[in-house]
Amino acid sequence: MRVIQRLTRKISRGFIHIILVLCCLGILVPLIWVVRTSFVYRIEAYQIPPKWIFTPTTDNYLTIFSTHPFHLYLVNSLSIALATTLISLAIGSLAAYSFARFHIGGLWFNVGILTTQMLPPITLIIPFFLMARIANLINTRSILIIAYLTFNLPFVIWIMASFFQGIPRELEESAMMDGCSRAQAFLRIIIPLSLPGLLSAGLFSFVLSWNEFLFALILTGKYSRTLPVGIAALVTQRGILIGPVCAGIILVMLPMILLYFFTKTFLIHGLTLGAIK
Amino acid sequence: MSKSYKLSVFVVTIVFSLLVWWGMGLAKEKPFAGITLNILMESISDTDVVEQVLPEFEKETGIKVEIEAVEYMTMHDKLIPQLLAPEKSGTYDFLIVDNYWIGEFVAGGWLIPLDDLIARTPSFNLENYIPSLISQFAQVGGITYMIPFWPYPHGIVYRTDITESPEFQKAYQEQFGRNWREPQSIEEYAEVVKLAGRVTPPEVYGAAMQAARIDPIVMEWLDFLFSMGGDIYDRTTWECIIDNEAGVKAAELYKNLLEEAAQPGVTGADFNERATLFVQGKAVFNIVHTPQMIEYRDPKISRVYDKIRLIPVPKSGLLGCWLWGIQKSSPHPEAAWEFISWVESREIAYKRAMIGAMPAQGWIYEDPAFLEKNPWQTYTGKMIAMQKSVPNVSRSTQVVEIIGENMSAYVIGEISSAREALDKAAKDLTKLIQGDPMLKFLKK
Amino acid sequence: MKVHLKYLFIIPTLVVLVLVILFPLLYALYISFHEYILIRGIGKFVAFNNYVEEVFFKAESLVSLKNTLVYTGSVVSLELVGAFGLALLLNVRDLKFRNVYLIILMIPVMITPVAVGLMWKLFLNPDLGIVNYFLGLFGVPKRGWFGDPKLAMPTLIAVDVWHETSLILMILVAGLANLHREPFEAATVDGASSLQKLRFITLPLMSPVILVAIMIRMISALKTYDLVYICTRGGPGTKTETLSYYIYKAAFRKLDMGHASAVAYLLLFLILILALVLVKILGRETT
Repeated sequence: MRVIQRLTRKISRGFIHIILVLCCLGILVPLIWVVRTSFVYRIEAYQIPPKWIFTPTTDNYLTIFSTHPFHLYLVNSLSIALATTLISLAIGSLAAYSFARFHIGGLWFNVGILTTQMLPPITLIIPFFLMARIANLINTRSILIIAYLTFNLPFVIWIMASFFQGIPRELEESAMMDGCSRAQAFLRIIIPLSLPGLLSAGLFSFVLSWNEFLFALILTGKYSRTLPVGIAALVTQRGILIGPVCAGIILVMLPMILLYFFTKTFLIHGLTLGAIK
Repeated sequence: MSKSYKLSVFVVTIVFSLLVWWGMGLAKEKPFAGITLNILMESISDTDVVEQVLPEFEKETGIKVEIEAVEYMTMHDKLIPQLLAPEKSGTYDFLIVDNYWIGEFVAGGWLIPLDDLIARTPSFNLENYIPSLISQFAQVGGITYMIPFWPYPHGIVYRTDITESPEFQKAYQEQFGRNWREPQSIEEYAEVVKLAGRVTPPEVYGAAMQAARIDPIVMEWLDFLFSMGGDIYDRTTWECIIDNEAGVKAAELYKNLLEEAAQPGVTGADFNERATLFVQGKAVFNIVHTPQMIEYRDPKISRVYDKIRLIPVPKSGLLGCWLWGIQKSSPHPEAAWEFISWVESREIAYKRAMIGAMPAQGWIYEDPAFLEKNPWQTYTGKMIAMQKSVPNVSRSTQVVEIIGENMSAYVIGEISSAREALDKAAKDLTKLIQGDPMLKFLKK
Repeated sequence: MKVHLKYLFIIPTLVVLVLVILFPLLYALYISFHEYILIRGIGKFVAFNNYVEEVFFKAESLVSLKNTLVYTGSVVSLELVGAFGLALLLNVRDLKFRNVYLIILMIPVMITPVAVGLMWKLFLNPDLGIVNYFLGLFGVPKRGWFGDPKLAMPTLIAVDVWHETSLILMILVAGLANLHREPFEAATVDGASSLQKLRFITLPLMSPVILVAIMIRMISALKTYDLVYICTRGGPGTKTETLSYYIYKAAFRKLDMGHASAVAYLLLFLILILALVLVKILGRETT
């Protein structure tokens, strides 16, 4: 009996691995092709049947660091995304706490802040541009930080609120009985307990800012350009510069993968959303 | 002579020389030095050429020019909010404009008339340009709003190695009863394309086409329409004639060609896909906007660089043009004009043409050195003279949208007949120009 | 005057949202009640005309609505089911290489939609793309993918699934990892099968998390614009034209801001209703 049980377990495990491996291949194979394309000349990129043995070239990477300064775009995207994330986490956690513990505004508040996200950005871009013009913030990184802040806040608040709701009230209450103010209890007890939540909301906010295209297109200039706009600029009237595009994709992915390695321990151990605790 | 007389002569001479010296210094003074001009341009080879001459401009005038290059479609989107900005408060100092946005920008009052500036600049002369570029694009109602930058007529590019091959020659002889000759009409072109598709192996198509929605299909189909004598509007009465006999025939011919001779998935193919297919050697014919020849002849990009030939679209075709303009929201309009008049002066325009740009000035097309470097440009002047463009009505962008939507729906079968599709387009096109203030400025 | 903490904490958020987003929202609403062609300036007040015209007199907006609903429905359900399945697999006790799988599966969402679109356009090019080449090796005829009227929408959905499943996976994995062991151990003692555990323990306990995931994904799917712009521009014909793309066309190509804003607000109401329904069905435990 035991033997059969162990065997079934082994087989089902094997199955699980097979499915997971297939899914991973579904992601890795296209990416390997992207890497391959980043090292070929355009004439070979589109060659069918593909030339399996080819002489690699670093031309594409040179292009994205010279005529199209991707290192600049990288710095811009990174700083905008980081700034947005940190500010939205700070402000958002406060509001989320208010909502979670005091139900401020009730259902209306909860759904209401999400409503600000329900209008397609296209309709907002012109008034936004006019406002930015008055504030003299066109072609700066700050304007994007402000814009993305408003995009991310509602989601961050939502995620953090459900987090806080999962932490029992008794914890703050006992701290307050020991003489802490509520604010101190918040800072010293709730926040540390919610670190994983902060990380997941933070990651979410970072990804959203990293990937955004429309506002970045309209509001940035030559020196404040972000990565998505940079990649779109490689679609030229002389054809899509597919080699540099692929090089750009690899570049775009790299910081994210590095970010993952650094936050791995937090992520894997505790990406939680509180509500279930 | 008395001493006082000599003295006065001496003093006058000194003063006069000083004045002359000072005056000369003034002329050399750089009135705009230290200004940085910003311009939004399209990421294309002509922009790269302009980049190359920028250092010279900076040396001469002290003005730095920053070019921000974006892709074509996003350029229009980026320009709209800029144009809405109040006077002198935009982020760009001047623009380049695609010809079918002219109607929009002029009707919106977004561009500064340039005639005064031109009159003040003796080194700049509109007569250098090909006349039809000025009358069709640069001037509206007699007022000059823009300066031609690079024109793009459309032509047919085909594979000479295939048309000269014995199989093709034999099949052509059998079908047409004469020796191979370049098509003299668009109907003949269609027949030749289909023949080519049959003669070549299955992975080489008769023609590479671009029937993707809006810009690609419109830019290609208008060549068919104009070549067959049709038009979008009658240019004197402004009645919409897109659904007349010529229009319907052009639409049916186009769809037929898509089905019988073009590559699979053509209804999703845009400029890039059509061009890539051709340079990879997988098609015999294609209709191009001529500046693409620069890429077609680059061995790093094209497999067929040495076996192609460019000829005009028969009888008429689509002409487009990019032009320089200065918008009302420009912070430094005068400095911007300084640049435009410099980069379009005879000397610099010629230099750019020799580096590899598409000149708008007619005399360059007759220059032997230029023609030697670019033998494929022999027909360009002729093409520009005989081709038509999208009319400069104030909603010109929407004109292209309406045609594109209906043609796309027709070629995939969403609308079953060409007449129905074009009638639908005609209805919308007619409504579009009702009461259009631009019409009284437009003459053919 | 002492202000209660709860108001203090909410002030920064309110300040940001009111200063930054309130004006554009109200501006768009104001515009939707007027005639406004960009090159002519703000025109006359027309009350609900724009709304009525879009709903009752234009076939195209209804087609976009249909496309949007098909797209969103497919994308959200496929991604939810897929991500949930993967999350369950990853949650199996002591799975070897779990971290490796997780990191790889998270990669797609980190690539900006513009790049994802360009990438897949390369692979799916009918004559010059690697996908058709491989399928050809197995005798499958060349497909038009984005260019084929029948395949364009499914292809777009597939690309979106490839891209966004990782986002939902991130949220669901977190949720699963946070479940307490006790209910499961108790169930095992009672002799419950895996399927029963899934149905009676996992799903109910996970419903708040699932709500968050669906809500987030649904709202962003309904606003999808980048991917459509890069891959198909709404074509062929109108096969992949979503409401968001329709609004873009009205605003920037037709220059008709009045109608664009009207359709945008109609979309907002649609999303709002769907959101409220979702909260009612799944959200009993959240608020």
